[in-house]
Amino acid sequence: MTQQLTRALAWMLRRSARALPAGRREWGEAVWAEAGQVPAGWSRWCWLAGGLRLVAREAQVTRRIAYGLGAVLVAAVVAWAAWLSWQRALPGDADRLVDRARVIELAAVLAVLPWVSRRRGVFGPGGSSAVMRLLRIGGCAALCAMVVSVVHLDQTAPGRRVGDHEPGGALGNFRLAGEARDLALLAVLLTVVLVLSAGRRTRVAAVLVAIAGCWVLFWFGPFQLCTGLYAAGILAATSRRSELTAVSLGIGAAAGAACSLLVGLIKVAADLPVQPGGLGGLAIAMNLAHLGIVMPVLLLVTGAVALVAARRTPAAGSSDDVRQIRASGPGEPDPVRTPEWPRVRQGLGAGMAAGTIAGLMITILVGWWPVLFWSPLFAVIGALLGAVAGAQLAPPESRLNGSWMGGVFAASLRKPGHAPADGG
Amino acid sequence: MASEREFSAQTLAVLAALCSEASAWRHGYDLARQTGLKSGTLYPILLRLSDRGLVEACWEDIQPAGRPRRHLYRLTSDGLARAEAELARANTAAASSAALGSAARRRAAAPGWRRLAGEGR
Repeated sequence: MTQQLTRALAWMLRRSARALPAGRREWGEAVWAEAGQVPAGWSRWCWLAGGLRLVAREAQVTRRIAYGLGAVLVAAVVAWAAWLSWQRALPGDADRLVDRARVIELAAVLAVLPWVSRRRGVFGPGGSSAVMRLLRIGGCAALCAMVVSVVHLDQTAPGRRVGDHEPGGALGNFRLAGEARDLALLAVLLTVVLVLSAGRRTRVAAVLVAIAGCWVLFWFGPFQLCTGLYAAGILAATSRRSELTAVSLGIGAAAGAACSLLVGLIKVAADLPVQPGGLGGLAIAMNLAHLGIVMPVLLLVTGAVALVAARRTPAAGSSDDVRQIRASGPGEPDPVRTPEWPRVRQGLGAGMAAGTIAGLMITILVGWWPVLFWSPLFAVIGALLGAVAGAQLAPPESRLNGSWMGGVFAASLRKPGHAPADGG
Repeated sequence: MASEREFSAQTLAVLAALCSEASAWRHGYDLARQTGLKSGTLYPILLRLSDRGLVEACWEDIQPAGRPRRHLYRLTSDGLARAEAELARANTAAASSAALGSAARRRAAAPGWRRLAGEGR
């Protein structure tokens, strides 16, 4: 029995070591090769188990399992959404066909995103901090939930339930070719922007192409564009090349979630229904009413978040600048080394993160899906105002002064004769 | 910067073991016995040190009878210099923390009023 277990562990170690990349394989084999020297029994089992741990660590087995589970989860959600959109659909039901297209688009976006995020560029690879990983995963999950929520709304909204509509009617605005064209346009736009942004000199051109492309796409497939933009925004903000700090993103995401909860509470307190679709008088009135609630809350929250993020950001841009300033002491602020732009940028990023999360969460929790289109606009306005105010209100070098003075204080405590515990 | 980070106690133990016979090639089980580390701890440390260029590794040249060839490890010249510096720094830190610890123990043993009056100064 003992020998069999040892043999089994050794076999597993040798087999699994082969799965390691070429530069790492020999390390797994090294543990296996030395197992014979270790006394038989418990010690040898521990030795071989340690080798298996090494292989699992080097092969990033935990991460692979997590990603695999995540992929299965996303596939399950997409399948559920597809089932929701397909169930008992009658021919000629335009809403359900549009829902199918949305689900297919979500599946396409989620299939492409992991590939895109692994490329070196604007969207990847992903940032290494836990906040960024959490936001990346949470953002994709929220996108899934958002599409499921919109599909579910279409299924259950008054006048749209199965049996409520007129069977055998026309296909409405749905055109399969049109949906495919919108997806293709989105893919082309993404590719052009990625290619252009790869060269530093053409970054401005990439931004211009992106703006023009979004403008054109908005008239063809606003929902497709919206989903794609949200996904691109989440990836770009959480990529390794992102200029935003994990703290700014964390503050923004938390505020966005709080904002959606606040809107949800207002909805419950005011007993407001989910707005009906279409362009009738009631729908327009309700859209305006919802807009009247969401707009001030979003402006307030994104502005406040941007202000906080901008104020707590050092005026110096890079960490090298910060180190230089810390090394040289507070002194006179150098206008070249301490531009206000980093503060505005962090504030804007935090505000946009709050607006993005709020837009997704309000759609998921409250069901007011037009917020998806409006929230980025409100977020830009609120965040810009808050970031500029925060950058202006923040005293120059306040944070650096605080850190530097803190360091001086800490150093003074270490000096003999200044120890407060003993000083009495 | 990762390379400037201080080493863990286990890494220092491995460096100390490799330093003890700097020119000799050592095998993993030998190092494990000397340091008391398990294979799941020892080999990742050796791997990271090798990645940083502080340790070099190779397989035994000749095939011994009755057992597979072993993987051997030795400090590089950079590794030796870095290991000596880190071990010296760790020894200094340990000595100063021991001195601080004994002073703190003396203060803790003193009655509260004496501490307030600054007797422990």
